[in-house]
Amino acid sequence: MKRKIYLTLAMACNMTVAAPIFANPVTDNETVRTFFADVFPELALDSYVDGVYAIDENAREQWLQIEEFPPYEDAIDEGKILFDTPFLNGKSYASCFDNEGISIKQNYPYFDQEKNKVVTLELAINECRTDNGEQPLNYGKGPMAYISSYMASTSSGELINVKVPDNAAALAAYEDGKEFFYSRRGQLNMACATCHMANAGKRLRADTLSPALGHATHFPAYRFKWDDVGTIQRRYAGCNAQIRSKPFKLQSEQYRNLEYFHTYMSNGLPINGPGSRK
Amino acid sequence: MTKVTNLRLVFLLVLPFMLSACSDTDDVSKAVSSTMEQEQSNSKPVNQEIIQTTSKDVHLQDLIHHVAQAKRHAEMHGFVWSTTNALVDKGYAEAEKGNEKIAKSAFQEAKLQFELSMEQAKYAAQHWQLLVPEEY
Repeated sequence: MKRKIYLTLAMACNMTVAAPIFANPVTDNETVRTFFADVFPELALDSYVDGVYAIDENAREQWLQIEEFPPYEDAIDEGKILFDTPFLNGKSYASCFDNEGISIKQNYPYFDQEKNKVVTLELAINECRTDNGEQPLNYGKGPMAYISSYMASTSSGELINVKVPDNAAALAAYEDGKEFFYSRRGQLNMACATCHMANAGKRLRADTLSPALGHATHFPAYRFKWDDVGTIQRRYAGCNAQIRSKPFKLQSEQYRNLEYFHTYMSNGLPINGPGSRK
Repeated sequence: MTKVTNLRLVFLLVLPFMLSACSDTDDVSKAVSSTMEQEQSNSKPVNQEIIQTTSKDVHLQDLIHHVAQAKRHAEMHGFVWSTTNALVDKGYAEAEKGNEKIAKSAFQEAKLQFELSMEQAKYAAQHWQLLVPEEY
């Protein structure tokens, strides 16, 4: 009898260690949602789009007042002007995107099977520029963040619909992003998940840590620290620097794959970007 | 009146002990502070000790070579710390100024950080799933 118990235990241990190499993204999402439902049992799924302001009542009150005169409005207006301005060859951004670039943000990032890589909205914007003989824009802030903000605003209310096609390369990119998210790095030995999963809702000095679920809905975001709008990858670089890890280049393979995994996590949540954040 | 005199006498007799108790307290605080100093010196990062013991023996050029090698490996793993390249820069700057001891110290620290980041990368590759929430 004892032997049977030991055997069963050993098999269970082996099963835990020998987890499938490529997890099922759908199962991952269910797991993450159940995890957060346990942590914040009173929070409705859609509330996660408000990030930390969904769980910090005092900060929420201030934020709602700020949102009455949104600090990112100028960025949207500037982005629309840039978006509508034709390139030197007479074409415009609209010519590069489905539905002329309107209300498409919810489908990004996607895995391009021809290019065999994850394509984010910002990467697509720059590819559009270079395909039309224009110089690429700097990623992270400035005109790139303005155009991206405008495009996000046209997707307001659309549900995030990132797809991970059933092929090895796409699953590998998703898995790579997942590994990044859960890997401890930097001199402080912290992972994205350390703050935004395991300690979401807890305090780090004066700040409440936001849950990872819903992060992707409100970027680009106006951050008071930046005094401007910035892309989600700018935030990744900032987070990495805070844990004393050398940030990767914006739109590097690592950050694109991370954004792929991170955005997929918020599938089904409505876009409400750009947003304002502390 | 006699009671008061007696009390005074008792007070005078006890006073030296009280004073000695005060001086004991000083000794204790001295002892605590010396212990703290000792602890502080013991809790110096291991890498500092390595630097102190090895920097005399290692040739600067060899050290630079080792650092460059460690840097290549660490960057390959993608786990470089944001603090490390500044140390490398400091090492080169001090070497250029002729401050070999400080340069060596900076390079040693950089080498150690590169090595630790590689260890971190190896650990992450094997254990990153520990942070994934369990399936429900």
